[in-house]
Amino acid sequence: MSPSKGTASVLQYTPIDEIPKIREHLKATYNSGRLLPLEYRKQQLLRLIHLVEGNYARFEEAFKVDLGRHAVEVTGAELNNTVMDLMYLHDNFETWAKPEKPGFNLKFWAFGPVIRRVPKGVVLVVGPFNGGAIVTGNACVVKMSELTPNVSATLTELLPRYLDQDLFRVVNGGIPETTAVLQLQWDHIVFTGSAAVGRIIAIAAAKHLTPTTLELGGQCPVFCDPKMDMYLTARRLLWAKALNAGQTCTTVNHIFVPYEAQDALVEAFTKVYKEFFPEGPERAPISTLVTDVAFKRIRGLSEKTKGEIVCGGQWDEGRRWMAPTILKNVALDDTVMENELFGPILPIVPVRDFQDAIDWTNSRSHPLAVYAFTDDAKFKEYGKSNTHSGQFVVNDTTLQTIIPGLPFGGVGESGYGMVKGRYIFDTLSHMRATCESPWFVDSMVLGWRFPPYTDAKVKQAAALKPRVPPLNPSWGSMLRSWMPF
Amino acid sequence: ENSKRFEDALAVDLGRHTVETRVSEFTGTLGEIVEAYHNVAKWSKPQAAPFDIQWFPLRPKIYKSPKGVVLIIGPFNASPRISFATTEELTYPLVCTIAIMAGAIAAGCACVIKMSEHIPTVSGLIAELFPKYMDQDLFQVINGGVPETSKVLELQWDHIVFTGSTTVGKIVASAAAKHLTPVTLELGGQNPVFLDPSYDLDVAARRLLWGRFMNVGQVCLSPNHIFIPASAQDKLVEALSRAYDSFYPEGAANSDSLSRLVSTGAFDRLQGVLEKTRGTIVKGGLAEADREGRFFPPTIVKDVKEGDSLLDAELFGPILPIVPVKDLQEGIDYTNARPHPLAAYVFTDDAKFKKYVIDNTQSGAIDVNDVCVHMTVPGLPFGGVGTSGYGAHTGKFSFDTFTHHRSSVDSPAWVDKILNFRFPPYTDKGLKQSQLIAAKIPAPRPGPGIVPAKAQKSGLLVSAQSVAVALGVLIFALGLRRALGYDGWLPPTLVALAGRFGVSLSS
Repeated sequence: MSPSKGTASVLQYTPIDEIPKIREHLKATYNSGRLLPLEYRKQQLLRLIHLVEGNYARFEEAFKVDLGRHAVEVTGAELNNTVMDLMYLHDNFETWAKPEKPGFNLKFWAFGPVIRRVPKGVVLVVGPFNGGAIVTGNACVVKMSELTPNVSATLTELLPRYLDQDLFRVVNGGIPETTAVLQLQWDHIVFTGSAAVGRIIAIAAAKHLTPTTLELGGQCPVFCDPKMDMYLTARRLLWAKALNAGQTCTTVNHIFVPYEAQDALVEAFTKVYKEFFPEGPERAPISTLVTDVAFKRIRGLSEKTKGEIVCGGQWDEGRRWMAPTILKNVALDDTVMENELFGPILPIVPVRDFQDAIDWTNSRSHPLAVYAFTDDAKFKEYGKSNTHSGQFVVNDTTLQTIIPGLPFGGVGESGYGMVKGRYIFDTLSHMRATCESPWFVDSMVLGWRFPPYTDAKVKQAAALKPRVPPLNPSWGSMLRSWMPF
Repeated sequence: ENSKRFEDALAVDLGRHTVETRVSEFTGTLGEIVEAYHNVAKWSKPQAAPFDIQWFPLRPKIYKSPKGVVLIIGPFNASPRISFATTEELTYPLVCTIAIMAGAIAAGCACVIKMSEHIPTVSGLIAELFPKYMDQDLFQVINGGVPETSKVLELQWDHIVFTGSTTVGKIVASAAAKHLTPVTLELGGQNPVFLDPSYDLDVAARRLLWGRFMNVGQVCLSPNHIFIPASAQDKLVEALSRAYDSFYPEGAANSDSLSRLVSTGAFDRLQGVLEKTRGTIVKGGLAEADREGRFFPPTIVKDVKEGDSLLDAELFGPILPIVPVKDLQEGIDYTNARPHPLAAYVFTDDAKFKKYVIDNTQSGAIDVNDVCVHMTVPGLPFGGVGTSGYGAHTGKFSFDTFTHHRSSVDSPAWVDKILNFRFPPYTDKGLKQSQLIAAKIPAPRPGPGIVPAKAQKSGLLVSAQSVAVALGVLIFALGLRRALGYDGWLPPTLVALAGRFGVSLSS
């Protein structure tokens, strides 16, 4: 895909034959052990934080050009959260990096078992930059998206000024460059994007036995309880959809609501729509779609759908913009329900009862998040137990990705592996088990392991067998199970 | 209950002695299952996210949900050339499938086990026993060769665990990639031993030979070769010979403590590399080898140099090459230039050298002064890195392998009063408010691109917390003074000092 029109000179693609050299160089620096000291990692991470935090204006400008995004969305929704994530890593990674001792065990304490979290090597991140690589002590190559050339160019320009160029580099380019990158061996690959490309990445990684973490997407459904406060629901849902014109992996895809409550919800949306866009959506700072192809796809869907437009529907081909559009009376087999929308259309799907909605959701691939809007504890439990998804969120959307301490990851077609905070630290670390045998272990405990095997040794080996709880417990066996050995 | 039948079956398939079966298979497998049994409630409990003052009202939690239907698979021969399927599962069928299955059951997953066709008696026994004990709607055994395994891999699973060779690992990973299935691979490598001659060579020799000749070397963790400074090689050879003779007092061929190789293909391969070696055989050798009986004598070879046939690939057999080096750094460099092994072993009493080896090598695990034991120590993850695999199992690590950590949030209505700025229309005031939940960032050290600056002013909410904490500490300290019997709330020195400045503090 060639760079977007008008920006051909903004983003410089990395020459393909440079790419293996970058990897070699980073591997050599990594092997020299430069990233082993925690202090150096902390310093690099802090510089990364300042790269983001000290350049808010430039990033806001770049996002405005690439996506028409307003500063509140850029800073409030993206940059602040990035900095928060990085600070969380900065404040906590030293604790996580400490060698961990598994719990005391009577039989094995003498072996002094320890788990060390060590780096894997050179990590490839396809998608947004990841601070996790630095704190785990991995060198890192980031392949940024060519579809947001200004943002990528800004980061490419700033990175060398802040981070050690022998360890952290950016690679830019389209399909040929990405293919070249994927042919090389990496020690871990983190990918954020679509399931189709996720497969390509996983297949390329399999050839090198590279572990991968895939953050993909899905059709995130909303189950809306009719007894719920519709105004609150509409506000939070329209917010999620308007954010970056619905181009977020955790945005709401569609809403299930019982027939009898659809009108109340539609009324609430109409009210909220006016509040959000008092001068109409055209005058509001709503992001544009990222490519012409995406725009045409969304336009096509909005024309082919048999749902009725409640709000929005306006579009401007020139700047790849479409208003957040709410549809009602959308059927389950409508064209907008076929794939993840990833755009500013929000279909309301009225259902006879929620079991239909749940069955439909379960018959498709697992989404990244399931959203339930309800105050009823039973309904929450019902939604949670009967669906399978990356996350399960009640009465809100998207916020689950910025709360520190929560893992972010999908299941099934929405991906695998977990990122953020402690979880990206564990993902990009190898847990290396260590133990040390004292000299006396052979004479006192493990002497029977050496041949020649005799009947006496067979008996001693049997002593290590754990006590097995019986299939049909009796009082006697339950009492015995309280004994420590 | 059926342990005797398993012991007999393993004796038929592999000629393995009861002691080895009991230790490596039963203890390990039963230990795993019993541990899972006792801990399933604890591991499955939903976990609250660590307390965070800004986000706790949203009740962030992590639910442990099962991934679905999982596949645990042993190795198979993808092509006739890979007849030496160098795998653990062939030789440790219970540990590699049933023990892992314990974690899957604890996580709530349905499970299919694909057993190997190369151990027909054992696989047959498991296939016969499964329906008698396990819920057939949830847990099944599949047996078969290449066509059956290929079919299994075409289907979609929610997680696949594979134990076996690197070559086949790539096939499994590629098949899984098409379905976006997460995979755990337990592969192999050439596990090096770094032997510091100041360590007691007799103790080292016994442990090394035990690790090497257990199951005639067909263990993924078996030490592959030993690095020792050239000057100490002869002493090591003597110690190894003593240990060898003590293990097989009537000679290796007459010992009933030695297993058999898994196939004649394995025999041919080992014979091939041994015939081509340019090292010197000091014990064992091909004289008493018996191809039909798949008996390969435990063999020790010294003066093995880099490039020797014995160092080409993972031996997975009872040959122990000794590689004399100028110093152990040479051994470390050799190891680091090659794919990461599943385990590295270092024998030394020198704490500095121990730390040096740990910090300067990469491997799945590293044992000090012993070999192979880390697999049985509870609480330690068992897994490789690089081409020795990825993912980890045993104990809770198995449970986590088969569990999806499902994040959850429950957002109260009043949160919007604070987070109101997130809703359009976007205003400058909203932008300022969004900074309130921003993090407090320390100033970095000056350097290229960074101008020395004051630390950034923190957001309101965060500093309120620090003020509250400081006040709390102050009040506590003053109260403590009072409680300890000092007169008054304030220290007299402070009162006097304030008095100097004309401020009256006495109450």
